[in-house]
Amino acid sequence: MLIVAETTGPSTHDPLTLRSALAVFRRHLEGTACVDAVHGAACPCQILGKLYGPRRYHCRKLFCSAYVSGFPTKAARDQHVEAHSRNFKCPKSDCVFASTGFRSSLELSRHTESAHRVLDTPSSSVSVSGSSGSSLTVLLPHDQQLVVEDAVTNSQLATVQHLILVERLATDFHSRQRFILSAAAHSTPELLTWLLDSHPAAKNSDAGDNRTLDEALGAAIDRENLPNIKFLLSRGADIMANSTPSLSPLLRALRRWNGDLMGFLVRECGVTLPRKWPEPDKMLSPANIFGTPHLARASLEEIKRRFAALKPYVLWPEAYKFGTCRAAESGRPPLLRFSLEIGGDPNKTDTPGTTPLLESVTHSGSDGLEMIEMLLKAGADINSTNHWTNLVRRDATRDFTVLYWVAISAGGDGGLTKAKLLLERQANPNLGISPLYAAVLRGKAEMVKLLLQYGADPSPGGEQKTIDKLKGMQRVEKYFAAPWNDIVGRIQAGEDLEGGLRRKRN
Amino acid sequence: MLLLFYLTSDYLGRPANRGRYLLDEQSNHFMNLADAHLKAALVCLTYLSYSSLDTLFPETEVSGIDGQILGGDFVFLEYSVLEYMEHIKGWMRHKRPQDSAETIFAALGRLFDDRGSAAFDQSAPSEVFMGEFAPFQSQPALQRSLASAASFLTGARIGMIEVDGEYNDNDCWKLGLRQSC
Repeated sequence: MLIVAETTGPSTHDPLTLRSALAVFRRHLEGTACVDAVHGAACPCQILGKLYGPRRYHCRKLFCSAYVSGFPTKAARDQHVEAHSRNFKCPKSDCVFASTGFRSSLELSRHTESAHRVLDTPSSSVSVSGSSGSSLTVLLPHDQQLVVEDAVTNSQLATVQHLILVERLATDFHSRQRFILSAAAHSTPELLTWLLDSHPAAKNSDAGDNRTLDEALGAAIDRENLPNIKFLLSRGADIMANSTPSLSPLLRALRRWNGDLMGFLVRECGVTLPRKWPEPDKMLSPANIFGTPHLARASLEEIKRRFAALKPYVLWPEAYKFGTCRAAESGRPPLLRFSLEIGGDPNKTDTPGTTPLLESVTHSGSDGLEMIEMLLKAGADINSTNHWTNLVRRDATRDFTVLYWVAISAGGDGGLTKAKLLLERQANPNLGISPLYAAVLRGKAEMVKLLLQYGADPSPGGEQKTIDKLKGMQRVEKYFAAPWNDIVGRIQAGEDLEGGLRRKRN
Repeated sequence: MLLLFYLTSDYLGRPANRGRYLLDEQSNHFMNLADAHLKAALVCLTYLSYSSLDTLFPETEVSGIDGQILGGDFVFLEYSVLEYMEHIKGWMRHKRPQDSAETIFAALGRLFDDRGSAAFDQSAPSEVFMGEFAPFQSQPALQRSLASAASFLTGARIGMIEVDGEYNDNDCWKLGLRQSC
């Protein structure tokens, strides 16, 4: 009974021989099946299928999902194995991908661009070989930092070691921190390892050190530096880390809108996506993927194409529902249109104190107008109110409408076009804090006229001063060259009151 | 025994479903989760120690494996090799009755006796993995073996260990788990 397998387990790291037994079994299982496509009456395949299931051909790579799941035919398995042979090698000899390689030329070129970006100033211009005696410490601290960072970005491990250990350049804590982030973004795992291990904080690996790892992971993700991402994850960086004020690494990855990157994280790095997104105080909402800076000039088609690849990894309903607000915030009409198309809510948001409509009116020009139209068409409530808290007296909160926000906005035509659009669409000028009061306060005469034309109450209550005592009132009266009561009366009677400071000056 | 035959009988369909059946709703929550993990772990461990599996282990392969395959001797092999660790971990996660520990200790001890690898170098596993198996503290040898096994499985899953079971030293950077690269 007691058979100790002496040598069948070739791994010196596995205390059990189960894996090699499984390999033996699988080899025999494949050998038992017939090779013909058409199974004869006497062929054992039917029995095998009954006993061992339909997927009896497995990948031999232990880390591969097909090691467990298998394939129904030998041909399918062999085709899959091809994918593991990575024939596109990185030409840089000191790069880990020189031996590992990539599956396609596209992956290779993406890697070269992100990991081996050559800076305008070649680092060879910094002569460090014959520097015995000559000290670079005469450089200003900031220049020292740049010299080392240049070497870091170009993955020159020996140079970096020399500069830091021998020349003692930029050895302060914050410079080291910064080099780690640069290395994570542009360099190789070897250099990153050295920087992390020689980092002053590495000695006492406490919470601060983990924070460095998480930040580095975020930097690597931002530059899609795949080797470093995998390395940092294996070293214990937490992709779910809550690193306020910057976004968590997972969110930064999602914001790339790159399905391949997410696939790499999940399949190759073993990242498990959370079924349920953490509470807002633990991690910012997944709706933030619509606040991405990476789709600034993307067309609707491009957005659709990239989201199709990203979608399998966006598992959280709130990402879809609340994306509108972030899309509006980004000021990109195609992005907003897309987020509405996939079911984004034109009214609700998971961020207190704002709505998609309010975000879109803050953007000037035709983009802002287009987004307002889009949201109204999708059913956004034009008269919804937002909450405004007095920063000094927090109990003194007041509601304001989108129209109020437009009425106080500066720049361009001072929000006139947008206010006109809103008023034409039945925006109520007498809701919440009075837009008219705000316009008078700022002396915006044309805005005052517009609001009065659409029925704004000329003497709004609930303010500290009455409207005619406001400082801006003088400007309004001067603009129309008439007293306030006169202005109100004539505009309400339907007169198109002409005004202008220049004419007055004449 | 009855349980094992029950599990591996045909009507459950694909092998991947066998065993998991214990934990699923289909069984009408016949067992609670801790109990289910315990029973499933015991089934896996016991099965892997069966003498009918001995043919798969020695270096010089013996004839008759093909016959055994057709006879259905290995129907439970895939599942138990791939999942036994998950069940042990599942059992540890839940509140454990004292007596259940003894049965697990016994089954694991037998497994390491029967299927232990002579090639394994006895270097101490990392503390992370040792800590994970704290419930085995009273059995230091078992704890060490389990921690090494778990460390190996983790390494395998994240691509540290190539098909022949050896660490790929060129890619050692991939793993912070191993200190001595």
